[in-house]
Amino acid sequence: MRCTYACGTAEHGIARRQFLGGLATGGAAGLVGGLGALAQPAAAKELASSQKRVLLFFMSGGLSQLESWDPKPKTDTGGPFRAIPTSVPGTHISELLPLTAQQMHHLAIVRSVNTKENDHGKGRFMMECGRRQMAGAKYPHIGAVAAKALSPENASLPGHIHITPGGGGGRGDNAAYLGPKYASIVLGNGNPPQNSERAAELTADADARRNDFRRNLNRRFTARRRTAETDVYTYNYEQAQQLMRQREIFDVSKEPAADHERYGKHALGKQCLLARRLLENGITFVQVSHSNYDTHNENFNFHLEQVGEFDRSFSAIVSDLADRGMLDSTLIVVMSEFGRTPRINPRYGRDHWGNAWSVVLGGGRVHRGALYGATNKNGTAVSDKEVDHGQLFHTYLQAVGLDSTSSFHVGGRDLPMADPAASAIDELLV
Amino acid sequence: MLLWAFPARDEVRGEEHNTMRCPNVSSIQIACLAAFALFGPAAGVNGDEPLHVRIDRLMEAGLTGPVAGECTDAEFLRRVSLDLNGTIPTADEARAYLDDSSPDQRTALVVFLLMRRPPARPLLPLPTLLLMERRRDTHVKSAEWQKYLHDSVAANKPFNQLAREILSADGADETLRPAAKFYLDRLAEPHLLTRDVGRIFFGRDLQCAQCHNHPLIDDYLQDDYYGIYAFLSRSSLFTDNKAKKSFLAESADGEAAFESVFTLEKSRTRPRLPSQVEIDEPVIPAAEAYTVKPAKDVRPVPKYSRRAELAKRATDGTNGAFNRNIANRLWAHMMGRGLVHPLDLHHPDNPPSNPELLELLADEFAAMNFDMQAFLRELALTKTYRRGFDMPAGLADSSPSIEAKITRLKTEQAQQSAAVDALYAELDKLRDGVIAAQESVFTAEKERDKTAAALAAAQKESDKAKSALAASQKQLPEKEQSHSTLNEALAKADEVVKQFPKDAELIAAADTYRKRVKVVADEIAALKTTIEQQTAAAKAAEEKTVEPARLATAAAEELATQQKNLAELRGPYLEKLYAYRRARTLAEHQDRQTTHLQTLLTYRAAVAKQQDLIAATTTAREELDRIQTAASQVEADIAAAADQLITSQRAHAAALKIAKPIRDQYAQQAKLARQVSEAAAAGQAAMTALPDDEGLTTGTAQLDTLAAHLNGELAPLAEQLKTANDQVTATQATLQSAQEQLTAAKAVKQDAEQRTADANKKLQAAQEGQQAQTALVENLYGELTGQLTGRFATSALKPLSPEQLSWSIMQATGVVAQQKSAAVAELDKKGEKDEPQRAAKVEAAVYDKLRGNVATFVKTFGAGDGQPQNVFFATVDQALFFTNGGEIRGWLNPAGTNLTARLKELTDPAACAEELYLAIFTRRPAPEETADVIAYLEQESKSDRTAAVQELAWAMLTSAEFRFEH
Repeated sequence: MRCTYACGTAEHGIARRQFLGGLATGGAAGLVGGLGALAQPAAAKELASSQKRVLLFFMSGGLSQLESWDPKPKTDTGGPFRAIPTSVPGTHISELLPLTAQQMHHLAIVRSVNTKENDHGKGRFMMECGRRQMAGAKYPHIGAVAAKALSPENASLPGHIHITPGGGGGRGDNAAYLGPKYASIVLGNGNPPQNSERAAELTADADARRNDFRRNLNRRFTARRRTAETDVYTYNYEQAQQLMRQREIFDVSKEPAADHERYGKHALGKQCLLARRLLENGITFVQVSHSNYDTHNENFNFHLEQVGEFDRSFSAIVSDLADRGMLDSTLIVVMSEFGRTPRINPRYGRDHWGNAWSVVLGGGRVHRGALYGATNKNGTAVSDKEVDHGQLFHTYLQAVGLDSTSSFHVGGRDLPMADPAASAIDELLV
Repeated sequence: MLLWAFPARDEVRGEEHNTMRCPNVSSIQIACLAAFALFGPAAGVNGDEPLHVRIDRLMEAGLTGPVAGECTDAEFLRRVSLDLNGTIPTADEARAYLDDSSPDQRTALVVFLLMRRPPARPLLPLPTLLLMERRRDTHVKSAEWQKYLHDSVAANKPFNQLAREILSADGADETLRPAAKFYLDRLAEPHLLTRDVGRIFFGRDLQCAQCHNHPLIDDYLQDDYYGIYAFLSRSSLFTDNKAKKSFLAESADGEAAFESVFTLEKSRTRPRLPSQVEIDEPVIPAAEAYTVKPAKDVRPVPKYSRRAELAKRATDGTNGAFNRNIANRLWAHMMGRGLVHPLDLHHPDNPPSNPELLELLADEFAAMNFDMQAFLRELALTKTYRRGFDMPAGLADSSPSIEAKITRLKTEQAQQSAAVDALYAELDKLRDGVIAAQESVFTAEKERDKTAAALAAAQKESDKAKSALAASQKQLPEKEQSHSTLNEALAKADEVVKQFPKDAELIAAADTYRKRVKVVADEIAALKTTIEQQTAAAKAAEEKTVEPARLATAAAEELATQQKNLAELRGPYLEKLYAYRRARTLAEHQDRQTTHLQTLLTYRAAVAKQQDLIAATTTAREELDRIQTAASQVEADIAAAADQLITSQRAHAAALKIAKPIRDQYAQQAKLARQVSEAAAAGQAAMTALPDDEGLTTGTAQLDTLAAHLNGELAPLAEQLKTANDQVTATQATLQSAQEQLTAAKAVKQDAEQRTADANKKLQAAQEGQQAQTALVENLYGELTGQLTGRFATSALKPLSPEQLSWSIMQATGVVAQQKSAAVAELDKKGEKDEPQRAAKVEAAVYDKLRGNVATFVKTFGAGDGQPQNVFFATVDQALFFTNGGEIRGWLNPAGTNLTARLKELTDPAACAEELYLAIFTRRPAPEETADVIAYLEQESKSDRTAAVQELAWAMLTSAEFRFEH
């Protein structure tokens, strides 16, 4: 594929060969020391400053745009909450987001999303994969696309992580043709990936010895025939060793108590703090899901509670990423499968609504503090600059420096990175 | 994969041997089969030679460049075991095979693996993965599907029959219900089916051509996509809610119409298979279209099924695309990659690496009635299958014949390119004709619709007039009836009035009748007038339908003509399209042949240049060394000169030091002597004036004496002084010379430094040149490796499938043997003695016990569901699974007679090495490998020998040599 990052340029190709070449020859001179560009501080530092990352918040069930990014107070659809000013003069958001309001100068709101889709599954697929679901076709999740296009080929840590409240450790099935290497690793409750701990009966020394013996065997074999596949395979074990050494990255309890306090003691707070930790350690894509916004009943009570929780953790991580100088290299996206109806139903609920809702972006090339598009007075239709999932998907990729119109080359075939029928929202990008 | 053991070689040759473990094929049978394989069935099908010989000949003809040598026996054993038996052999099997030296052992092994019973399970993943690609179950359970496939493979069901059953299945026939999994588990979604039928059965991934011609592949047209789609679009999923079962329903109408989202060009196609023209279909009146008519909760069954037509036409052996696809896939199963690769991208820009060979395989596979086992056996007997995996020797050697080959190829290419251009021009013209004809059909359709509508309107008017007339005509007899009834009543009333002339009431009644009769008569008259008018109107209205009817008929005829015209044009157009595609395939193939030879030449030139640059580097280094040696000599000279200078300086200083007191003394002495002499001289002068002054005389004499004395003393001093002065002069000269020498040496050094810097620069430049060239050579080597692998000039490294990997690890560690013994013991207990059932039962038991492990490997190492399963990927979690996972660790714990238990018992470390290598790598270790194992054991086993052998086994199981088939 062709893009502006480490994923297929001629330079990169050479760098990879040099890297693997170094690996092969380094072996003779005591392999462990020579292993992995990432293990070298200089390379790690370079990575931190140049590698692009994505933090995606998925507001599961469908966040109400009216109780968040596009409030319509004092209208028939507006509900009980006020709009409050933000750090961006002229931009108001719901009073349920007082802390986030102070961070809006880092973020941009797209208020004119129309995906014309009111089904949870289909809406989610469209937003995460940037295309409408089509029979016979599977498309990769944005996390898989990001991991493939942005992660260094020799990275030891997984590039695509989903943090969920429960379960964990397993590999998702969302990379489609990009291959399982880019499928999500699910971290439930902040547990580290499966099998990342050495068995108690095996000493570190013994493990090192048997790995040396393995390297020696590989050296003999690859002297006869070496292919890209043998390179990748043999290198994987070195990545595994690195990951085992870096296990603490997944341990959120290592973060300071004050930060735990600031992010909130609830599950989302912990997940956001873990997300920060992972991004800081060079993981390309982290998705945090917040559940559940499917408020057909008691929309206002639910949003009061949940958006409040979100406000605290989200504002904390946005401000931290900005303070730590990571915002230029980290794209933030807040999305749902759709928004919620302006019409308030008899159960004080709002229903599924894909026709006029909002998505928030920030960081990377995204225009800070921008307000893009608009809905009409009571939010029942997009009134300006309508966009859909396809355009947003291109925009996310462009925001992290990728040429979203390029193609991946997988298994002898070219596969467009994003829907060729759509293009990015240029106005949102700087 | 579970249950076989090799027969001793003499068994295969037919000599009785009681350790024969292949249960149901006698050794004589095997011997005959071996002979049969070499000279047998393929010979009967076509020509006099067996297929593998013909394959070899075409392969050899196609391979213009260098070719790798033959693989070793051990490599062959491992290869054929994995491909035909799904696992590596046990250590004992490997040992027995390698110790045998009969010349035909490879053939015998192939035959044995394919003839042993039960043979189905090892080959099962092949159709399973091909057809379902690890899709999750929806309507048909995996177990039923597996059983169906197992039975099919066990019976060696011809592949076309299997495909026909699958492509025609609707789920209603209980015996073939599992075959409907292909459709039902894809929810009968016509686009998904189109994509997967295209990919899996015809080797064409046409998905991108659903909405427009493929943007990246010129030859995948929307027209091609909808040709397949037309076979499938009438099918849909039907769920019988009572039976809670799903079936395939099919409608009797629905055409494949499509419009490009790019060009907005509209088109339509009847069902069409790849590389064939549109099919002719029976014309069935709508009323008779169904065997079972559509209704609520009823599964419609049409009389004519397009899906059944697809199944029939694809599999009858006449469809080249179908035959090539499956032949290519089986080839890929054995050789690690297809002649066309990727397997589902057959198109002219991705030609077969040997088009003639692919044609031969496709034709012969069809000719041998799609017998998979016979075909696999022929492939296993080819030289290509026996190719080693090293790069060909002498890759960089020059060979002057290549230029000649390139020249020849270029001539052929020029001809082919001209042929392609000519075909394209013809095709273009035909395409224009088809597009125009399609337009005409659309126009004719519009006209047909318009005239039909006009006719319908006129007909409606006419019908209205007719029905009005009919209504009036129906009224008339009724009216006439009442008229005559009334008349009769009036006549009777008049008679009554005659009898009672005065009765006013009767008279009134009769008048009433009279009036009534008159009214009715008037009405009848009016009605008759109306009827007359209506008759005229109806006639007029009917006449008004004549012209529309004529127009409609004409339009329908015109449409039929245009449709016929289109059909007549599309046939030749499609034929030309296929001819054009064939020509382009060939052209592209020639291009690649040339490219390969050119790469080879470029590589050779690059290597030669690399050698030159290496030589240049060596020369530059030697030059530098020489200069540096010289420079170091200069250093020594400078040091010596400096030493010399210091010595001279010291000598000079010492001489000066010695000379100084002598000079002083001499000067003093000389001064004294001079003064005394002067005094004596003054005395003499005084004496001349005072000759008799005795005192003066005496004094003067004394002075003279003293002066003489002093002067006498001065002489040796002068001598001393001269010596000292000479010494000073000499040392000064030496010093000066030393200084000069040092200056000279320093100048030489400066010069040497300059020369060293120059030489260094030269060396650096040479090294950079060499490095750049080495990178270039490496790149070219990589490119060449890819080309040689793609051409089968060297064997591909084939990653083990998750199934092969899991079974091989369980085989190597002894898990399989353990389960096998348990199953055998169980059968012994039950007294089950009859082979082949016994063998089948053992195999099934082992499979049941271990399939959970296989599932774990599939989850970790398999590609996503619905994705091609032959792609390799390696992830960190796989390495972590091997490194820390409980499975491998458990299998490496010593138990019974498993690998580590056996190794623990072996006291001779060399024997230990052999057992490890045979069990895991299916070969004996080389001496240095044995030495490594011995060293490891010596180092480790002082602490814990069990741990040491576990570590060794682990390292081997996780090595590249184990992960790949080679």
